[in-house]
Amino acid sequence: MKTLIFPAFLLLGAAPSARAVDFIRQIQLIHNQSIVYDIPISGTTGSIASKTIEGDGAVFQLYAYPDQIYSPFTIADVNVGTLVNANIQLDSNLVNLNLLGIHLNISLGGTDPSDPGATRVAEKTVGTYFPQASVTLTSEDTYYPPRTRADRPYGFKLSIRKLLAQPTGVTTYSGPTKITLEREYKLYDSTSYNPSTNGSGQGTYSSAYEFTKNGDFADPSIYQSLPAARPTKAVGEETFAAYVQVNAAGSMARVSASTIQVWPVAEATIDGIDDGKRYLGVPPNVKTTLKDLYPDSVTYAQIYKGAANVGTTGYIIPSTVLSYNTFSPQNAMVPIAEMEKGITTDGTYTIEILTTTPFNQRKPEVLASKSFVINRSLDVQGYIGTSN
Amino acid sequence: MKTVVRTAAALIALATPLLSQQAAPAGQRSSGAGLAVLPSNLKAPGSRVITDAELTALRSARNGGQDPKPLPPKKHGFSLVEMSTILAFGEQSTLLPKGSIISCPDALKARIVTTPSGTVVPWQEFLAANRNWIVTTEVELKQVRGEMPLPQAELQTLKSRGLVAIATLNGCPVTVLPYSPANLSK
Repeated sequence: MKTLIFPAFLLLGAAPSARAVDFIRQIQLIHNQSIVYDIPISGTTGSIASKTIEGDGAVFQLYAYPDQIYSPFTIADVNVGTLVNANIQLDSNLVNLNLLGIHLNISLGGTDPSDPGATRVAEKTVGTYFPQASVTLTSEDTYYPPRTRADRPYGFKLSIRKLLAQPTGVTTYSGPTKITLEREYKLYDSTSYNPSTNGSGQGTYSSAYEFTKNGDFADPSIYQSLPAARPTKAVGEETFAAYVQVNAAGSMARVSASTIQVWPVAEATIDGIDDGKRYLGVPPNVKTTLKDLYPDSVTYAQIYKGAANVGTTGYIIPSTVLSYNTFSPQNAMVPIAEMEKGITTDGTYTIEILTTTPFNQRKPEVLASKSFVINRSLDVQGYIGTSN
Repeated sequence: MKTVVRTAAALIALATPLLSQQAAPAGQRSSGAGLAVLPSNLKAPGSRVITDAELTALRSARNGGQDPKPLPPKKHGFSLVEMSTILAFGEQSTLLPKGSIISCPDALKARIVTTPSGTVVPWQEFLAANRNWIVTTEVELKQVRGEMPLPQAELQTLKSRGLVAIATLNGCPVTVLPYSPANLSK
């Protein structure tokens, strides 16, 4: 096996500190045996010099221990969504890390459900003969990390470079000649919107692809296929990962991956009004229960005269307007008060709950509607007479 | 943990306490309620939300009838436990690179386990709590590659003192390949 020896660099920031909760694992094959080297990380950004890379390459894995202080619900700035970025340059023997948001995204990592304690957040394989791959997932929602709704398609792009059939001047090539693309999923709990802590609800899909040539490959509309009872209420994430085989035993190392979160379609119910019923006055105690509102959405109730007719713009009830711009779906219960401001003369009225999301060019979609009849005047038919 | 907050005056019951801490950067819509958060360019309603049947039909048409089938997770190798040696003592256990324990007295061999037990803690934390029976020994790159033998006399001393020796390179734990003269020729 050809060996490339690089001068060993001094490790930066590797002095073990009491606060280090994460580590990078460097694995490489020397004399056909795996050598493992664990580098602790303290801090959230910076660079770490790895152990000398020898042989044909190395696998770098970034593990993070769940840290109680960094629970996702305590992070105020949800724009800290930069996925862990670990750049490894083979020639400089340096691993550049941008760990901002590592704890927010800790639930997005972990490909092996049996990883105990620490979660694998990122993995990268580098080597002389290793191809470079880049997987990107895009959604109509421009939020980062990528997310989409259960009913909306997302785009996929894979670019492969430096995949060699047989390098010139090397008689026995034992490096990878193909990239295997796999699609994996992880289900979230439908109420907490988080993956389970014991690794259940994960799996792969039956479709896997192999690429043997360099190039760019894309599929602009992929629908999520999470195994949920109702397709519109699927909650979880899907990952496209590119793997190469690194040794004769068939161990696969990841060269690139991208994950997209899937949030369910919102639903609403209107309580306090019976559909089609006649009311003598404005119905009191009307409320709407909203479930799984999209993290970036504006939801409101409107009322208009006439039977239900999707597309009608009515009187928007001010106290029902609810806007969210956050990182997970929301639930709410909103009383519908001051409905009478939208009611003029007697007749049939329709009340609708609508929501706007980044999808469908932010056109509002009707979540629920009910129609009722208002008849506030009483006609008394009678006569006055006397009887002897 | 989500908490549901309901106050007498509030019109809205929120499912997450995060909302009150939201500070939106300039130019970005913030969470909130009331007419103030209604988009100024609100369009006319387009349609009803999609139903399950409609989505299933749409998806099947796009996949040509071949929907991807969910399968159990696949093992790819280089998993955490496969590449690790696990030390456990008391309520804690920790993960070390496989082959990094270069010397272990027989009495303490029971502390090397195959699956972690109790709380899995980072290596530094475990070392700090167990300094009375674990020591680290700095090794050279040649010894890591199995091209130079380890100092056996030193390891014997550590063993007789009842200490477990962990190999480190520049302070970080590392696998040490068994010494074999054959490695030198490669």
